Amino acid sequence: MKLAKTTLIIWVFFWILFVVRGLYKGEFREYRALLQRDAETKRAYIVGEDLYEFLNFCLMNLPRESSYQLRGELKSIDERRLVYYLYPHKKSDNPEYLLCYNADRDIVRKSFYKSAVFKTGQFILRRRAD
Amino acid sequence: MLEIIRLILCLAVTSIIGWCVLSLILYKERKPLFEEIALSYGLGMGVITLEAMLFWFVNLKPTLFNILLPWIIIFPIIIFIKPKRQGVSLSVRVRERLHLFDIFLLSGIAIEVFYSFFRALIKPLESYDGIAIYAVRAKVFYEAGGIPQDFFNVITKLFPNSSYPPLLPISESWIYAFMGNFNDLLVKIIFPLYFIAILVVFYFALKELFGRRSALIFTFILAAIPQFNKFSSIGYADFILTFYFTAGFLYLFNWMRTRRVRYLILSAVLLGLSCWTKTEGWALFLACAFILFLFVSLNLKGERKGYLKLILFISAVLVIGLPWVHIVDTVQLENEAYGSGTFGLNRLFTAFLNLDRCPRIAYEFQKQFFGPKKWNIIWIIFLALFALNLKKAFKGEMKYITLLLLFIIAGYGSVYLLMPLKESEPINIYISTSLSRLFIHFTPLCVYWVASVCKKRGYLEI
Repeated sequence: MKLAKTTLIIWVFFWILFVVRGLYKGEFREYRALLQRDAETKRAYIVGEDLYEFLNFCLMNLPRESSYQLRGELKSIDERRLVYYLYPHKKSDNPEYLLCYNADRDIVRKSFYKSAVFKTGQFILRRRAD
Repeated sequence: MLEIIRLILCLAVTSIIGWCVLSLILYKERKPLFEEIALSYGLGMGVITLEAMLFWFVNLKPTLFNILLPWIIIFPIIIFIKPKRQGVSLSVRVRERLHLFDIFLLSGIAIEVFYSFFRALIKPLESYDGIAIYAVRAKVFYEAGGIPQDFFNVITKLFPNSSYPPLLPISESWIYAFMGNFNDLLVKIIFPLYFIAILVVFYFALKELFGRRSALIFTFILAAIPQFNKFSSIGYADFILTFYFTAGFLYLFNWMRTRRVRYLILSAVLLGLSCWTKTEGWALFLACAFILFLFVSLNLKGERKGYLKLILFISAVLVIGLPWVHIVDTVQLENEAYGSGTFGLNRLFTAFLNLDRCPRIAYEFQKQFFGPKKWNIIWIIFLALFALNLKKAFKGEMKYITLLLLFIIAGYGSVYLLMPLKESEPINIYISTSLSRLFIHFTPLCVYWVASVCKKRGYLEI
C-alpha cells in the first residue's frame, strides 16, 4: 500500500516535471507565437517565413496541375511540406518546371530557362519547347 | 463560425453512424453512455472510410447523400428496437460521491485532455508523416470529391508509403468535405477525440473489473504519459491504431470473461479497423488471434464451439482488412522500409540472416524502457512488477494479458530483423525514428497489465 502510494507520488512528480520542462524548453515560446497568428501566418511560422513566401510565389506562377521538381538546399521535411502545399501540382521525374530554392546559378540547364525570379537563389525554371 | 458548426455536425453524424453499427453488434445491450459515445466515434470514422472505399470499388461518387443514405434508413429502426437507457437512482449517486483524491485524478485527466486539444488545434498539420503520407492523400481525395479511379495505380505512388491503408486520409477528407473547406487546422480535432475515446473505453473497462477509484488511477496514468499525449495531437495514424487495438483487446478479454459473443464480434470489428488503419494492425490482430486460440484450447478445453468462434473472429477481421491487402498486392504498392507488395514466407526467413542486429535492437528497446522523458516510469513499473510476479504473470487469466504483451514486444522487435538495408546502412537510424511510435500501440495494454497485477497483489486499496 505504502509502495503503491510512493510510486504514485513519484509518477505525479515526473508528470509535473516533464510538463513544466517541456514548456520551459521552448514549447511555451512556440505556443505564444502561434496564439498571436491567424491560420495563414501560422502556416508561414511552421514552414518558415522565407520558404512560405517562395511557396506562394510558386503557386502564383505555376499553371494549374503542372509537373515540377525541386532543386536547391531543402531539408527533407521542407520537401515534404512543399509537395503537400503545392498539390495539385505534382512532383515528376520528367517535370515541366524546376522550383529552385536557395540554388546556385549553375543549376540552370540548357533544356530549361528562367521563367520567373523571386529573389537571389529563388527562381522557377521552365522546360524549353522542343 | 459556420465552419465550426459544420465540423460539430460532422462529428455528430459520424458518431451516430458509429452508434448504429455498435447497436447492430450489441443489439439490445446498453453500455454506459460515454462508453457508447467513445466507441461510436471510432466505429463511425472506420465505417465511413470503408464506405468510401466500397464506393471506389463500385465506381460510385461518395457524396454526402450516398454515404448517409443507408444510415437514414437504419437509424430510426434502431431507435425503435433499442431499449431506453435506465437512469441512475439518487441513492446510488449519493454513494458515488467523489473524494478529494478522485477529484485530483479527474483534474489530471482533464488537464491532459485539454492539453491534447490545445496542442492539436494551435497549429495546422505539419508533422513529417502527418503531411507526407496522410494529409497529402487527404488533399487528393478532397480535391477529387472522393477517391479517384486511378488513385491506387498512379497518384498514390507519387507520395511515400503508398501501401499504408487509407483510413486516416479518408477520415480527413470526410471532415474537409463536410466543412466545405480545406481547413488543415480544424481537421486535427480527429486526434484528441481519439485520445478521449481511448481514455473513456479504458476507464470503463477497468471500472467494471477494479472499481471506480482504481479505474481513475490508471486512466490518469495512461493520460499522463508524455509520449502518449504528444502523439494524440500530431497527425500520425499510430494513435488511431492504438484506439482500435486497445478497444479491440479490451473487448476480447471481456468476451473471455463473459462469453457474450457480441463482445467477440465487436472486438473483431475493432481489430479489423486497426488493420485498416496501419499495417502494424495485422501484427496486433495476429497476436490477439493467437491468444484467442490459446484460450479456446486451454479454457474451453478445445470445444468445437470455441474453434468456430475463433473462425468467426478471424473471418470478421479478414472481411475488413483483406480488400486492402488485395489492392496492395495487385498494384504493388510500396512501403519505403520494406519495398513493394506484401510479406511472403521468404521475407520471414531473412530474419535469421540478420541476428547480428539483436544487440542494437535490444539497446534501443532499453532506451525506451528506461526513458522517463517519453514514458514517465510506466515501463520501469512494468519491468519491476514483471520480475517480482513472474509466476503470477503466467497464471490464470493473467497469462493471456502477459503473453499478448510479450508477443507484441517480441513481434515489433523482430520487425527490425526483417528490414532490408542497403550495404553498411545502420539499423539504428530506422529504430530511433520509429520505435517510440510503435511503443504507443501497446502502451494501454501495458497499463492494463500493470493494473491487473496491482489488483492481484492488493495494491489498489489507496
